[in-house]
Amino acid sequence: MAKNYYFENYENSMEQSLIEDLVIESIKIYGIDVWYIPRTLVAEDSILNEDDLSTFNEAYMAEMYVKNVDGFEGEGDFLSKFGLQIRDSVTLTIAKRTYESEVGTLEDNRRPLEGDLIYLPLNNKVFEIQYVEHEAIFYQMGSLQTYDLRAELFEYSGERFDTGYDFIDEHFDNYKIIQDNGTPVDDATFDANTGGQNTAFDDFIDSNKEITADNIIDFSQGNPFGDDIF
Amino acid sequence: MYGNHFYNETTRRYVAVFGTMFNDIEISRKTGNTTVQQMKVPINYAPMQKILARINQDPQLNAPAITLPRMSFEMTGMTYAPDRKLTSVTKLVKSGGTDASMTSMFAPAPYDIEFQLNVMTKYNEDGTKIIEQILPFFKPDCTVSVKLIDELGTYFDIPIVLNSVSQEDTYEGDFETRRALIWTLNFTMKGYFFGPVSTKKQITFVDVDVAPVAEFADGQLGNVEASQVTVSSSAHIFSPFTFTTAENGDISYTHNLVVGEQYRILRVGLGVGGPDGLFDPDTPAQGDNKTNWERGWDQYLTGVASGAVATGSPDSTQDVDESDTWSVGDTFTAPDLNTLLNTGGNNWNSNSHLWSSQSAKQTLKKRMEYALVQKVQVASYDPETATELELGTDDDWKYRTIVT
Repeated sequence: MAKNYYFENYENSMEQSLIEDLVIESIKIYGIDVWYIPRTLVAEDSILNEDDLSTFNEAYMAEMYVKNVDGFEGEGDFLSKFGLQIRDSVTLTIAKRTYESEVGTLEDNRRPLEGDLIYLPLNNKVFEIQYVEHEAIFYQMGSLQTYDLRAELFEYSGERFDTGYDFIDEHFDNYKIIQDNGTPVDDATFDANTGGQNTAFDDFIDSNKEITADNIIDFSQGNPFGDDIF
Repeated sequence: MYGNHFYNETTRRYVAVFGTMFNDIEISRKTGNTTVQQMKVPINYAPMQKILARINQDPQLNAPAITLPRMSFEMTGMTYAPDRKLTSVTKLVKSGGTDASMTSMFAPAPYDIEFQLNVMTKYNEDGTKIIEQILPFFKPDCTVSVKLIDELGTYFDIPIVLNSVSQEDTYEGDFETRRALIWTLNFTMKGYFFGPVSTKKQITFVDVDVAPVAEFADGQLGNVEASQVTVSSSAHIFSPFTFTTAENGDISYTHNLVVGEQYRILRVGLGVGGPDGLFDPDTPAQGDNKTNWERGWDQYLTGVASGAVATGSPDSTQDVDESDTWSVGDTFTAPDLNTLLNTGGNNWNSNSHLWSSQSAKQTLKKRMEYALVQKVQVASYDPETATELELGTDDDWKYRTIVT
């Protein structure tokens, strides 16, 4: 058995191009300009299978369509053991051809990569691509025209940004716990950027109570961190 | 409880102590042997007021999902620890120092306080870098000394035991679920909870309802019924002189007794024998068989100290025992040294060098430095006024009951 030769629903390249043009035009009409920030792996650990020193050195503007028009998905804002967590997620649609022309050819990537970032000007936040769905619209006229980028709000862990755009490179300055030269930030900046977490103990037993955490522990007696621990 | 308000802030201290142990952990990220990044790991006490969390951690509404790595801890409960219980009536005490008071509190209640430390990282190795800086110190406990009660100022050794370490890594599943790397460490802090602190003044006398043998103004002994006995503290015992040695070795003295007041000798002297036995209490210094301590009292009360001029002293006006030597229990009236010195014709004046020359002062110091006296007050037979007796506190106090 074979398909009917007289009906070409999946191999008509002219119609495929037409649909792709229409999709791109639709995204240009209804989408927004975002910044696509590709990740550069620096120190990939082949034992633990991770890269804790990724950098983001480029940023490309591209139009994308926000698919979840009713608002961000995900669990939203909540208070956890580790303080405030924001679990906003978003699904963005980018046309394949748009990606290839705006990013792919420059980055030598054939598709958007998980781990790349997207700066969303709408809410001035950075999202990390968790998953690239390339078959969201299933082979319309026999071809794929878009990528769906499932992205979550970025978890910042000291990643380095050097895109040349200040609004991206300095975006996490208020949350930095390291300086650009790799050393820890000074105590005042650390307190400011962490909400005074580490010195919170000093705060609630400081001032007129005349005790601080360091004062009520006498390390000289017990010497718990002595030299002979090993 | 029981009408006492107190708050020792003990729990706050335990929280602070636990947080202080982990609030200076740093990790570094390397490529090869080169350190690229170094960071201090934030830590916070996990429970917090929600409004503060929102205001402080996302003030500009542009915060990332979370900043990692991060640690948090919380107190999860406490359990009474009967194995560490001390006798309930045991007291912790501390001297009040200059104000002669005493601060005390009953033995604390031992409690095991459970803490949970959580470590969240974005990268697996960040977590191991943190954990590996914690685990070596707990074998299985790490003991810190903590000042728990400011009033006592005592440091208590508080062991913190690491009970368990577990890791949660949600790396499985679909690609849209965020991976969470969380280490959980459970600790037991072997702490105490304290009751109220009480501060009391020093006990300077004790009232006892007895009928002691008293000595009255006419020298007769008798029982004083329904009287009040005051056991005085050492503050009621005086040294006749205070000697001061200057940097150049010169000795000066101060007369401590109130002129004209009656005192009783509690200790004639105290010292060691020199090469010639000069200050040996058993060896007479002169031919009058007086020891040098007794001679010191002669010098103090009559102004003379040599054997020749001291013959017959102490005189009857000073020595109620009318004996020839000054001994424990004798009473005397404190003399005015200046008056004696300036009275012409008596032995004091002729022997004034005994009070002025350095050699004489050194001799006086050796003779009188350790003498002790107690103030004497005489009561009458009137039961209304003869109700207070003062007892000395030296070894012979039972035999020197003095009516005051």
